[in-house]
Amino acid sequence: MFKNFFPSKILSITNNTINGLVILLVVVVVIGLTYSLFLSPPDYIQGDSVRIMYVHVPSSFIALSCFGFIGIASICNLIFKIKFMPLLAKSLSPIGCVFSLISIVTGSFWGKPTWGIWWVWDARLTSMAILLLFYIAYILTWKFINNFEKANKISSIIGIIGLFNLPVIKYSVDWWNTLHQPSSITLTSAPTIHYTMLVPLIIMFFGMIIYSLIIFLMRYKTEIMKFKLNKKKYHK
Amino acid sequence: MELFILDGYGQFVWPAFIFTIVSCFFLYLKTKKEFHKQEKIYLKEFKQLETKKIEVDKKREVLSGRLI
Repeated sequence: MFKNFFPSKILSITNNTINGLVILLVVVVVIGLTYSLFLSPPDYIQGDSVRIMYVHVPSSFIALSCFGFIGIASICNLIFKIKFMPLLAKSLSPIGCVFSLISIVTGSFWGKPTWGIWWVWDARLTSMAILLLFYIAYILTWKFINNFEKANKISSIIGIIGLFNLPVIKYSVDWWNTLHQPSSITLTSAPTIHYTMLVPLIIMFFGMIIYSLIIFLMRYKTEIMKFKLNKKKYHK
Repeated sequence: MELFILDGYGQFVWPAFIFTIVSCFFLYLKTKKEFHKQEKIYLKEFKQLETKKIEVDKKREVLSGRLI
């Protein structure tokens, strides 16, 4: 599994594989959107506003997962000095950043009809906004610090500090009284939502994971090529 | 028409979906553009090297064949 992330393995992935994934993504997204916008039933309390869940929940999950990977990669990078870890983490950061922004914006669109307000400084919403700030700080570090070693060190520290925010986001709805509802899907217990809503949610999840994989492969390949070119220039 | 109004929630549901699709599409286009640009530079720099490497390997094969 670990070996699959080695630069040589990633560089051997052809553009045909990526194009195949794009076709699969289009099929899954079309099915997912049809289900979530037209076929799934409205909620008996929230009505049709519940449809926002089909983009809000998967994007929040991916935003959190990406930062989890970035944090772990940063630890591996600082402690074990694994060379490709910073490139891997760097490739994941724009995906997580876009999905955390989507999560916040779609959450606002869901919050207005449900709570009567676009934004509230609630524990879940605030911790999610902090996650977005961590992503922005991480991306800006790589963008504005030209020295690779320096950028690598600073971004790894950001990645590790940001890791502490993840359990806060996850358990904020349990630790504090928040407007945000508790999780409907957990790893330890059966989902509390009806299967007619669970099916489109899973399809949208699957679609967003394929999308993230496509972006990750392209970005990781780009980063490896950039790294190799810079190395070549340096040796000249 | 009812599908677009969504019982009065259409004004929240549609912008949420449109924002998601537009953001994802924007990131995809940006990533793809950068990827192709980098790939061109990379291939320009390294293809020659790879061809030379193959030529050297072939020469080695021929030489080892002669030795046998």
